[in-house]
Amino acid sequence: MTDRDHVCVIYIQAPPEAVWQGLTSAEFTRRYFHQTEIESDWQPGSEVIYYNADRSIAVKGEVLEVEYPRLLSFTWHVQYNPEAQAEGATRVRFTLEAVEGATKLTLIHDQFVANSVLIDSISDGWIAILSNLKTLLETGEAMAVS
Amino acid sequence: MVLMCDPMQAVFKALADTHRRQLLDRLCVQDGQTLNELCEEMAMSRQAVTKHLSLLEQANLVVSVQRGRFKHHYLNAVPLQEIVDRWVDKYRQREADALLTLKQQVEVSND
Repeated sequence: MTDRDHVCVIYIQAPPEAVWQGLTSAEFTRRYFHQTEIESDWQPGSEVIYYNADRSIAVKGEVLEVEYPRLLSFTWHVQYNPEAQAEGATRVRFTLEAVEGATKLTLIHDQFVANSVLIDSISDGWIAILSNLKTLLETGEAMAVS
Repeated sequence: MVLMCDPMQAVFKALADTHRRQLLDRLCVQDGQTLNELCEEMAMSRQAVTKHLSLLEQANLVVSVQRGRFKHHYLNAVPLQEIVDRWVDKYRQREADALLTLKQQVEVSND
């Protein structure tokens, strides 16, 4: 394990319940998260999978903590890239706080292996994805992200 | 809260100081540093560093996470991405990236 984590915070003008839905429902993820569809029954110990549009698996993991609508964490094992897949499972933890009519969404992505290649690629990735989620929830449209 | 009234105002104010930009540079090199680590090599008091970090946090450019006895500081690039998204569309982004790459290559070869 390494000390390196990825942390980011974004303020979204929507209630935590809406942000929660954005994180956990395929109808939303397909519009802001590289067209992936998330699937899980959101019970601790259950599987969580992000499917690509062709139904291949982009990311899979196990649900760890669920406290609607404040905390959601699951393991994160990348399947889309052999090098990153070999690094094994990491962990993502979303916390949602209501702040003056908006939601402060904090993401901590940690438990990377030492000298992780994955952490460098996901850092920029998360910023684009979460900005896209914000745009989707605030305007109803996702930005065209290449 | 300043942040929610005009988030970008807080970002530009936070960036308008050479010491605060220097702190962001330090986190860019190594993310997740503690206050002690950040105070090393900064030619200012611990109190001043704390004050600058607090302004960076208010602007959401730095996020701190408490772990045991220590608070770790992370660079949060989200507000910077929002600035880019506001004034640079995706087509111009590619042109700008190409020019930046050219600038970096030319400057390296001149060293």
